[in-house]
This record gives sequence, C-alpha cells and structure tokens, in this order.
Amino acid sequence: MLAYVLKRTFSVVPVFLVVLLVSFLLTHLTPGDPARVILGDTATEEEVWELRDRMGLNAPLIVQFFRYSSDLLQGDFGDSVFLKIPVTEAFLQHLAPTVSLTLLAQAVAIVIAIPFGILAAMKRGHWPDHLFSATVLVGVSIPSFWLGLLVIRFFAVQLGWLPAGGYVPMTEDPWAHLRYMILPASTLGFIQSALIARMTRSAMLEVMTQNYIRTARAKGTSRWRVILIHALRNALIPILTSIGLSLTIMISGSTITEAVFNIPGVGQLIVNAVLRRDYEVIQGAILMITVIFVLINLVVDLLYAAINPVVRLR
Amino acid sequence: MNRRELMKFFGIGGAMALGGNSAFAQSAAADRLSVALAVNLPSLDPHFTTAVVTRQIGCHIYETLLTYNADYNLAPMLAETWSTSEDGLTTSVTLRPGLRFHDGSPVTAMDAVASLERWRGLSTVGKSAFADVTAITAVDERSLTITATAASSALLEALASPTQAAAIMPAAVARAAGKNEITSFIGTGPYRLQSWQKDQYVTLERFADYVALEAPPSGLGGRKEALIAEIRFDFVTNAPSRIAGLQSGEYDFVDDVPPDNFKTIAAIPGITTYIGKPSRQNIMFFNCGRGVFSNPAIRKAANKALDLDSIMLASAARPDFYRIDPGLMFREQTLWHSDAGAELMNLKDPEGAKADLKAAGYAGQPVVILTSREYQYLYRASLVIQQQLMMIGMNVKLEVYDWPTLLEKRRNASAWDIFFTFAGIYAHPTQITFVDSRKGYPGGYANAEVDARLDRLAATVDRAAAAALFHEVQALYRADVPTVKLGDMFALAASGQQVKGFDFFFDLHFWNVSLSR
Repeated sequence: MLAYVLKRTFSVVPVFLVVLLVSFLLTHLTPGDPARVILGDTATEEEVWELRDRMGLNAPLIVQFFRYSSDLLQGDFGDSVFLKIPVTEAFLQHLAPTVSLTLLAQAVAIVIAIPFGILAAMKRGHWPDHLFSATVLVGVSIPSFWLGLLVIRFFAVQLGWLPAGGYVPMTEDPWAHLRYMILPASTLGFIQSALIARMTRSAMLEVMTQNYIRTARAKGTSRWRVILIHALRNALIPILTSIGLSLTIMISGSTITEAVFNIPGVGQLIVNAVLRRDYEVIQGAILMITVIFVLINLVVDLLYAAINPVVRLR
Repeated sequence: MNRRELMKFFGIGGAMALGGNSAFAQSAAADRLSVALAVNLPSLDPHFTTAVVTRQIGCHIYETLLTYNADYNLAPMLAETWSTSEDGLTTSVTLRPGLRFHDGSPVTAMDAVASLERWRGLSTVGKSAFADVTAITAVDERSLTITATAASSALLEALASPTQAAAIMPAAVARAAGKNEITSFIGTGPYRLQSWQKDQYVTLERFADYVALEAPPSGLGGRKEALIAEIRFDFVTNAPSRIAGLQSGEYDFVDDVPPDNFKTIAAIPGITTYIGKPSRQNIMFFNCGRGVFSNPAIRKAANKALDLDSIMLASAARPDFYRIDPGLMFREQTLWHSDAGAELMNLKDPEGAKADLKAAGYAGQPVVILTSREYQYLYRASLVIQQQLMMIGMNVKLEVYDWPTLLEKRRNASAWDIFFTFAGIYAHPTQITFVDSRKGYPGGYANAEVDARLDRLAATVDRAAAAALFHEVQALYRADVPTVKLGDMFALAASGQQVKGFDFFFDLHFWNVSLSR
C-alpha cells in the first residue's frame, strides 16, 4: 500500500512543471497588461510604460520566468498587484467560500443522486425510471446561470425567503452563512447530481446482473439488504469517480454560479485576475488548483484501493 | 439567448414582481445605504487611476480645492477663495478655515501643496494643465500660490476635475506614496473609509467632523451632508444579479442597469429609476496613421454610409437613452458645447458612400474592427457598423477580444483599422485625450492647426474667447473625420423608494441622500 501511495505521489511532479510553464506562458503571452488596467483607459502610453517598469514587466520574459520560478521554490507565489496581498493569502481567502459552496453542493448532489439513481435502477423500464431519465436530462442540460437566476427569481425576489446573492463568512455568522449558501449550493448541487445519479443508475444495473447478487437473493437475503449491502458497495467505484470528478470541477471555482450569486470564491478570483491581467494571481491560482486536483484524485485512487483490494495489486 | 431575452423570459421586473417588500427590505439596516456597483474597484487612489469606479467611491472620501456646480462652472470646495494675477501667471488659493482630515488633523496649505505635487506627476489632466507650473508654494497655514511661466485657462479647471481628481490628502501620505499607490485613505469628505474587502465591498461611515459649505447644493458643489450613517458599496458585476438584489431589497441602489430593462423596471411599484444625462459618448476611432483609413477620403466615405440612429438604437436599446450630437463636449456644458460639424454626421447615404469609396481608390483592402463583448453597447454598435460598411462594399472583419486585450491590440497601429470606446465627461476641452496629437492617443490623428488652437485655448483665460477657439477646434476636427461620434448615451440607475434626494450629476454621489424605511 505504501509503495502504491509513493508511486502515485511522485508521478505528479512532471504535471506541476508542465502546469507552471504553460500557465506562465499563457498569462504573459496573452495581450493586455496590468499597468494599463490599473491606470485606466485614458492614461497615456508613457504613464503605462513607467508603471510597467516599476512592476518589473519590461524585463525579458525568460528573466521574469526564472525570477518567478526561483521565488516559487522558496514558497513565494508573489503578491497580487490589485489586492495588495500575497497570492497565497488571496487564494486561501477565496477558497473558503468555494470549499463551503462545494461541500454543501456535493452534499445536496449525493442526497439527491444516490437514492434516485438506485430507485431508477430498481424500477428499470417503469415510470420512475422514465421520470428519472427526463429529470437527469434536464439537470445535465440546464445552464447553471439560468437555473441560478430562476431560483433567485422565485425564492429571493418573489417569496423573499432567502437572500438574492452575496456572502457572509462562516466565522462571522454561521446561520447567515448558511442562508446565503442555500440557493447557490442547491443550484450547483442539482446540476452535479444529474451526473452522479446517471452513474449510480448504470453502475447498479451492471452489478445487479452479476451472479453473486442472484446467489444472495437465492439464499434468502432481503431485496433491500442485497441492494444496499451487496450491490451498492460493488457499484461504488464508478460512483466515487464521478463524485471525485464533480468535486474537482466545483473546487476549482464554480465561476458562473459564483458570479450569479456574487460569491467571492476561487472562480471569481481567477476571472477577475484574468480580466485585469493580475499575472501572479492567475499563475498562483492555477498552480494551487493543480495541487488540489491532484490531491483529490489521489484520495479517490486511495479510496478505490480501500474499497477494492484488486486495485492495489495493479 | 441574449441577456435581454433572458431577462424578459424571467420577467425580471415584470408584473409579478413584488418589489422591495420582501423580508430583506425590512431586515436591512435602517441607517445604512446599500449600493451595488457594476465594476470591481481596482484602486482607491484618486490621483492614480482614471477608473470610473474609483471616482464613484472616492468622491465621498476625497475633496478637491475647486469643483463644478450644476452649470459646469467652477465652484469652491476646500478653497474659500481663489484668484489669478493680472498676467495670469500666479494663481492664489485660500483654504476654508477649520477643515479637518479624517484622522483629525487640520488641513493646511502644506498638505495641499504636497497633494498637488503628487497629483501633477501622476494625473493625465494634471500633467498637461500644470506643464508650465514652476512652483507650488504654501504662503501660510491656509494659502498657497501656483506660479507658472505661461497663463493657462486649464489650470483651475484641472483642480476641479472629478476624474483623476486633484484630491487633497495629508502631506505625509502623499509624500510617503510618491509615485506608488497610497495605502492609507485619508481625505476630507463627508464620508470616511471604514473597510475595504477587495473585490467584494467597501464601507464608508459618516465623518462627524466634516465642515460643510453654507451654499445650497449644486452639482458637485455646495453643502454636503452625510444624512446616512453608513454606505456600503458591493461589487456585483452580473447585471441580472444586481436587479434581483434591488427587487429583493438586498440593495437600496443599483448602478448600471441595462436600458433594455428600463420599461419593466420602471413599471415595478416601489422602484425609482434615474437617467444619467449626460454620462458618456460612444466613439468610433479610425486608424488615421496606417492602413486604409489613413486616406481621409476613405474615412469620409465610410462616415457617409453610417446611419447613427440604427447604431445607437442597437447600443442603447431605446430611443430615449441616446441622442445624436456633434459636440466633443456635452450639450449640457453650455459654454463649451458646439454644433460644428453637425452637417457631417448621420448622413445615411450608402449610395453616395459607395461612389466616394470608389473615387477614393478603395480596392477591397481588409478592414479590421476591434471589439469586445465586455461593453455590450459598443459590441452591438460594432455589429451594426460592420453591416453598414459591408453594404458599401468594404471588406470588414470583426475581431472580438476581452477588453484588456483590445487595449493592448490598439497600441499596435498595424493591428487594426477601427475600434470603439466611450468617453465620460471632460470638465475642460484641454482634458480631451484624443484631439490633441501630442497626447499620443491610439489612432495617430494629427492636425497642426488643431494643436495650435488648443495651445491658444489653454493660454486664453477669458472663457468666452476660449469657447470660440474651441468651436474652431471642433469644426477642424470633425471635418477631418478621425473619429465618428456615434452619439451620447445615457446611464440608467435604479433604487428602492426608500432612497430620497438622489441627484445624478457627473456620476453617483450619496451625500444629501436620505433613507426612509
């Protein structure tokens, strides 16, 4: 098991190097420049040049890259030009809302997806299955900004039950935090649940045709015990994969949902950074998201190994 | 589905809306105004940036020596009196007595001198208006003089400019920052900075020791009172979210409502709309320095084809949100506004244009239009213009970028033929960035006669004589067609009915505004 963990861990080093190089080149080679954005549209070329000089942006690209990489090796991701704080701090600040949103949305997704996925598999070909398929199709196809606006329209504007948007940190007021999170988490969770539910249904269907299930039923085990204990555990690997996938997608910033609900998460951080060419933030955030991606994948892989010993041997 | 259709679909602001009567309206703080702005705040340094949002928030914190009243004439703010010597070389300013900074320290002439020194080195307006200034000196605690080698009508106007304002801050802050951004935000305004959560919100609180002018409020001048204890500015970049927030009562006031929504929003009981007039002009720039449009005859032919009404209607969505006007300065700025060149615009003559184009020797060279979806009204204009130019046989290609990329692209004269931008309100003709060739604005327009008149204008202290010169400048400029002014576009903001006394002048400001919940 240890060898497996080590092997998986070291295999990510080249991934980081490639991400580092690509993110640096992409940000610096894209036209547009932070000095121009800071100074505004009507500032003269001369002023922009002067500020670029002070920001070190007039140095050759290769010099800038080595400067950046050597800072990085010392754990320094640089400072955000606009936020005036270290990139690490900015990222962590924006990570909190995103993590909260992701976990809540994931909880919503799992609570919806797994029972309904199982139900659909059990009632295959009957009306619950058809209803399920139709709902999943809606869930997969619905754009998140549309669903977001729809729930705001209904729950915030018409009923006035929940706020239309915004964010209160959990440390400030946990109850208010939750109130602000309910709509975005449900929106995001509903959409993510479609993916997981579909995976649950097909994984369950596959497992249910196996011989050992028939054996279990034949020896008199109750139907629900077979489904929940024997079948579900063996169907979990693909379900876990899809949960891991949806986690990684959401943790890297549910940009659109964050924008619709005005949540200061990672997605907003990156979009804002791109729009104003805050190079350090773009690069730093991409690198840190890579770390999170890799970690989640690692955890999912290790979970496979825990659930299914065969994986360890490969 | 575009945004307009989407909003219709939801009926945002439609008949079913309940307005601001939800639970949240009641739960909102009684003495806090909540404002949703459309753009993130890049900096709160008034000297540093020309960004509109910096001005929107900064004008509550910072004040200038002079300002503009409702007639766009100079009015006192921190200054009690000001005068210019007979020869126009020396300007004296005396501060009002008893002024305090937000940190409690008195405002002295030394602070004003240090602030102006910093500002003239950073601000575009300051650099040009103070080019001939040799010394800014504090005479005593309350008076200062500005000495120049040439008389300038631009000098006092620059001191009053709300954009990249000559804000007065403590000397220590101004000196410590130098050319870098300031890190402590201490002004003299009716509100002071309470907190700034980057990319999320700024909160301001009433400055108890504020010394207001006696004169009645007019424009940006006169008496300013912080009637509301606290103002919170949230940055909400998504327009439907701003509108939903206004309806649910989260925000008392929202800026930048797309005019497409005017009818539906205005129909909601409990919501008040404000049309900001003037606000900005939309401008199409030709690349006069390079490529097809370096030939003035081709520029004129293209101009002849344009139907500005259909272009502006696409931009503003409603006829009551734009007007076609030739003025480089706005119609409301009665002293400076000129109709020179009106006969050269909105000609709607594609047939004539086609013939002119042929005569000018256009042979199907590609025309690159740079555009961006970030400013929808400019993007929509660019689509219509592309069509109108293609109708007269031009080979037009639209290149769509995000705004920072567009700004970068337009620096490269060989990368484009047409781009669009908008200009806000210039307080004085010398502040216009794109007419004077020496300001180096993209497009490479240069006319020595225009520049010479601008120099004479700057040296003319008599306002009527300066206005006459500016009239000539506009006539020459319009005849050259380096740009096509597409039209003036008005701004739309909205608030709940609890907001009282809001007055749109130049931009948003919330002193003298009260809340009645």
